[in-house]
Amino acid sequence: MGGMNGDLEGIIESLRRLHWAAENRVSEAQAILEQARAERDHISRMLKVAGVQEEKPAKPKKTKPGRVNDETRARVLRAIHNWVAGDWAVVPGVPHSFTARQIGELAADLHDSSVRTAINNLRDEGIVRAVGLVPNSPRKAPMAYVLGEGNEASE
Amino acid sequence: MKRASNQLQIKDFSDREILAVMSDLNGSDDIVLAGDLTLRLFGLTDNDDLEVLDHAARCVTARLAWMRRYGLVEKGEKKGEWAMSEEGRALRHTPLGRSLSSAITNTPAASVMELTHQVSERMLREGDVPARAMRREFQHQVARRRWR
Repeated sequence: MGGMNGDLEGIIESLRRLHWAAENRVSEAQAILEQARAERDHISRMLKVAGVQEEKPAKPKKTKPGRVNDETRARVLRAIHNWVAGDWAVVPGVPHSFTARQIGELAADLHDSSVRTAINNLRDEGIVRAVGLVPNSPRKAPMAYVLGEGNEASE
Repeated sequence: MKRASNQLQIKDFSDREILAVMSDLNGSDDIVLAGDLTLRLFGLTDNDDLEVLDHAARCVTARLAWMRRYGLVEKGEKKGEWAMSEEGRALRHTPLGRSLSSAITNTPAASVMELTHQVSERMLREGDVPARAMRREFQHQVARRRWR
């Protein structure tokens, strides 16, 4: 038994030495990498000052589509009217209040992001208005909306 | 910390929307408590963390103070009480005629610069409160939209 313990300790000691050696190699490699990067940046600056190096063209920024087509907009608006007709509310005390999620469930064939974009568009147009965040939401609270009044609801 | 980073900037809610929420909340005396407005706008309840509630209440009070400066709301008699001003109420509740609304919607793209010119010229001719309300509404739309 004593012999086995001795063997195990020997193995652990060897592994420790290997680990220590590996860590040393990582440190050395990192130092070499940092040095190489510093040299590269220095040469890049020199080339830039000399006007030799061309700057990399900036990648075109990805933009999210900010609009939905008329059909999607109409379907979302229809789903909102159905929600209102159902007399439901997500915010207590605010009749017919809804979030994008509820409308997404009513317009099940539309992608959630399309529904959100359509509701944003309708808010921009004044057809719906924001009434506040939904209380008691476990994580990030979604915005609640209602159909606007007067001109806002004219569509 | 839940929602402590939320603010109440012009891009989050327009003055028009805040006036509408005040209309939703106010009773027969037209008075709205800043605390009630805080709970509604930030989706909070009385059981939420005190620090979160305090932060949200500060945001709402600061916004209402600005709206007071713009002439849209006024303070009530007691602390924490707010009400729409006469002009704020008129601006909130006077609808645009359907024909005018339709005319603006149907304005051809080539005419929108002229349309904006006429709207902004009208803004200059208006009194302080409507002119500021117009500017703020425009600011809200610009801040919210993702320009491409």
